[in-house]
Amino acid sequence: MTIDKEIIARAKEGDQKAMGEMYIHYKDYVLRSAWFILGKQDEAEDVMENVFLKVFTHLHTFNMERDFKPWLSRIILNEARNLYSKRKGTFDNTEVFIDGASVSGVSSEEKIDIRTHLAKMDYESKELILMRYYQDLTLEEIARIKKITLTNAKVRIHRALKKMKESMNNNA
Amino acid sequence: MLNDENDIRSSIHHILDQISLQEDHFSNILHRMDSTKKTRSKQRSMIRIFAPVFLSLVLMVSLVFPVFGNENNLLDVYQNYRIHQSVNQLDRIEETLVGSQPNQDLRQFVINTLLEKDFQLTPVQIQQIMAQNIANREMIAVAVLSRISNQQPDLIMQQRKQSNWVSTLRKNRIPPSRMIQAMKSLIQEQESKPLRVFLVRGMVEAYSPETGSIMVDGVPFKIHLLQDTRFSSPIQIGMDVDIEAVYLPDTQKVGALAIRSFDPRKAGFITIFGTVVKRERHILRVSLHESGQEEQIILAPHIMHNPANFLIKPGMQIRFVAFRDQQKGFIAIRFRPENPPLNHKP
Repeated sequence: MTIDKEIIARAKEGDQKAMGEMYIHYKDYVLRSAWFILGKQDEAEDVMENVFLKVFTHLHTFNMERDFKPWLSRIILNEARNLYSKRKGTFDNTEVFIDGASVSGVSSEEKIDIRTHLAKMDYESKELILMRYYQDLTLEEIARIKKITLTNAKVRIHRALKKMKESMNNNA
Repeated sequence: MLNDENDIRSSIHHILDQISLQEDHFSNILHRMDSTKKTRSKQRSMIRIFAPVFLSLVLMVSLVFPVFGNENNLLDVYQNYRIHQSVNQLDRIEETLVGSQPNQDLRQFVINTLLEKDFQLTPVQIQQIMAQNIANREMIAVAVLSRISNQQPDLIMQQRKQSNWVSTLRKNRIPPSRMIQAMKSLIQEQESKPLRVFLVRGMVEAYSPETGSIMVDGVPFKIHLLQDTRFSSPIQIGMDVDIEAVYLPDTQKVGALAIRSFDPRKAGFITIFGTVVKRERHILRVSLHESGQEEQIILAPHIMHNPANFLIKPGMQIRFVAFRDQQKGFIAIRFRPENPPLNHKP
């Protein structure tokens, strides 16, 4: 999932071709992360657009010696949180199910289960699960993004996971 | 059921892999970037046009109405900000002076020595400023203004406590630019030839000729005698001394270059013996042994954390080294529970 730093450097200089390459490389990653948090396709697409706008306009502040993924992840989480708090929303269950049903290849009930439980999860747990199990960030990176200690990050992820498992076991 | 982390990871990936874009957004993003740029550029030009107009208006209003306080207008607020920036820069002096000396306890001695040697302030004047409990950079700034205005530092300190820097400068007829320049020159001067020798002053509390070390009352580190330490008289416990000290980075110790006896009275301090009658935090009522009168003695802020401070209670007999403050009375810079000598002269 990493991108050549040379592409980022060119985008930093304002090269639109490099920006295009970054967009192609990360669009699905950003969209899926936003969808995981918000549960709506249209909102995830809005977040994705805002995220890239922020990335391209603030790329000059990015420290090239650092890893790009945690930086991007922080922007995704901020943008998703902005939209979430605007609609003061809840995870839209109905749409998730409709989406789920309409997506081809969804045959396992287990996968629908995860979606159901995602809908029930609190916002922070979703963020943590996303960072750890989809974005594959290290515990150190998660702790830095959430501005918490490493131990605290471990504990919170463990709790989020436990909640998710318990909820699923109860339903099973 | 999902039982381990890998199951959850692969399931999440599997579900999310099925989410994909329904339309391309890249051209839209570029378009939005372009319009954001245009909006920002418009905002910048508007600011360039309207900011000077707005500032002129505020300046005019502030000259007529006291919106920034009775003595200030917008320009003063700006000048005050600039002076504060320069005063903050004085921290660099402290870093230059004590940077090579990791022992943080040395800091105050080094700053006091700068004030005494470079600004010719007397020990009493330094104690008067210290008693105000202000940051070292403010102490240095007061000394700078005292030097360029030929005004007494305690008076400047008083003015500074009552008003901001701009008003203090105005009272002393010094333009802000001159003050800023003086502080800049001081920083440059100190950075090019930092002070290495500093003064430690106080009463010898312990002296061991065997180990060659001295402990001075209120000084939280040992001072070691060197092979070529100069003495003006033999060291005795209880005598007041003035030690020219230096930090020795190799051994991380403080060495004495010269030790002289020091008479606090000659320097303008007063020695007071008395019995504590009443105590309210750092303010004491003391019955003086010499006159029998009761006086108020305030403990200076830098001795408040002295562990012996917590033991002071009514009935205790104490020797104070103090100076007289015009407004507050006696301010003690050192104290020691003890009986007065039979031949004591105040």
